[in-house]
Amino acid sequence: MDQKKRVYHINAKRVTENVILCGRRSRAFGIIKRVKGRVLSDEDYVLGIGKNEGKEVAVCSHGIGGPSIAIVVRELAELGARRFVRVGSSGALHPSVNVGDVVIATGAVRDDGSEYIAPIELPAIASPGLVDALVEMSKGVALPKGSKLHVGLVHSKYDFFSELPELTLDEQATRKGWERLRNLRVLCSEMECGVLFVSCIVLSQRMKAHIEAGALLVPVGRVEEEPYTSNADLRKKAEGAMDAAIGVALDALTK
Amino acid sequence: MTVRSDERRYHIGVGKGEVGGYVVLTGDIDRAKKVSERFDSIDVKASNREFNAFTGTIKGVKLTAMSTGIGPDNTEIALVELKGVAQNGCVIVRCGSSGSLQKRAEVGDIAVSTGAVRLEKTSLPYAAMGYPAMPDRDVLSALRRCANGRDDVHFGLTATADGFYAAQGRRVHPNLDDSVLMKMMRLGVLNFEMETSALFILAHAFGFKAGSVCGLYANRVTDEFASRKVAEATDRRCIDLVIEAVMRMAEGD
Repeated sequence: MDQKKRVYHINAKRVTENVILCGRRSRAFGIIKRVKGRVLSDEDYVLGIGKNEGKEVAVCSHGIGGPSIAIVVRELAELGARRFVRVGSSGALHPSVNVGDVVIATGAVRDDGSEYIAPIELPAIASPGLVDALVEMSKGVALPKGSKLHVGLVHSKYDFFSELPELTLDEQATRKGWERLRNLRVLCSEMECGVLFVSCIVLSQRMKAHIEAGALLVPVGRVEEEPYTSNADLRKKAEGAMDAAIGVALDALTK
Repeated sequence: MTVRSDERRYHIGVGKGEVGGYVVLTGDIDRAKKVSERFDSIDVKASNREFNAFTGTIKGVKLTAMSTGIGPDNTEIALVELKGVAQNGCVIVRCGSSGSLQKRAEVGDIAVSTGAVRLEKTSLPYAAMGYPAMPDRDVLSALRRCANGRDDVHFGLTATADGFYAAQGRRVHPNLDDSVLMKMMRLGVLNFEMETSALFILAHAFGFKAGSVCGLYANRVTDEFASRKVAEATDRRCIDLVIEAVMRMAEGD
């Protein structure tokens, strides 16, 4: 089968097995610089390949939301990618989680429209081996002062603005939804993990390959309060946590 | 709450102090008894309907073997009632039986669940659809270490149905079809049974740590069924694996 015909949005002939994903183009450029890489494709998505610990790693932006990351993951898998780690921002949801912490996702609640990819009954789980590697690598990384590491479930949503219930059609129902997730110890909310995890389960099956996924999330605001904190110190803490998270992701993929 | 006047739970018949930090949950009453036969001593026995509990020790570690009968609704009863009498963070490992959906996972092999497909409805009031039914990381990791290098133990997704016949795509009536079976096979699901997703969701909701291990009594691809002898041998190996994992966790490995 001509692989080229299945890749429409990324201008590359191949990628490495290990890929670090992030939402923002600017963050992708930053990580490519960090791994002394070169940019291969800069269209809808930024793709580059560099090296960490002497091992090749690809870096790709995936934009915002499920449909966008679904395209990126599928096309990168067609180009040879087999392990994905997403690093991204999120909103703190559980009271134990604060802005500038780091959350390693073990699985995601699918409020994200991913039923178009696979039946909604299927669990969106991160690859246990990759979760273990992320947890292991995080032990050796210094987090900003006061920043805590969490391992657990995250929430993936379709509607970014549901973080502000007063902007939704039924404010009380939206608040009740957040409360129910807190009662089940869901740590933070973002927009891509559900699709990332489900896509990798489906792609593993369809491509008869072992395609793994994991994610590290940094809360940059708090659900029901403000999606992005206005506190300058907390913003700095979150930036530091993001740098640390990127380091953990790179080490887990290449060490 | 559902505590009887004698302070024992309504269905499961055990009270505070009568449940170990490790619970082996079976469907089959006979299998719970078989698990209890591995104990160095049995200190508590309770029996009510399909709920049969045995609490004892292995090398000083306190365990409970408990049967719940068939289905996610019974699993819910057991979990809710354990909530009041088991310690927080209690490890609950299902030791059950199931049908294989993959040719390579043969009759007599063992399936360890890495996640569960929620085809049952019992867990829905607790967690809306979309919430992932997952085992506890530590329990799965202990099972993985115990199964290391074995080719008769398979890791994968488990589909949990709330029926045995129609809900698992068995065509026992003209109105039925096998579409659910085909769908699960297409997703690469490893096995079909009736408890795991409810166990995972409720365990997480109540702060327990759950895992699920099932013997493969049938293969839905090849239409093979285990003979009584094979089923018994599979049960023994399932119990071995679950107890080994539990003891590893208890010993801090």
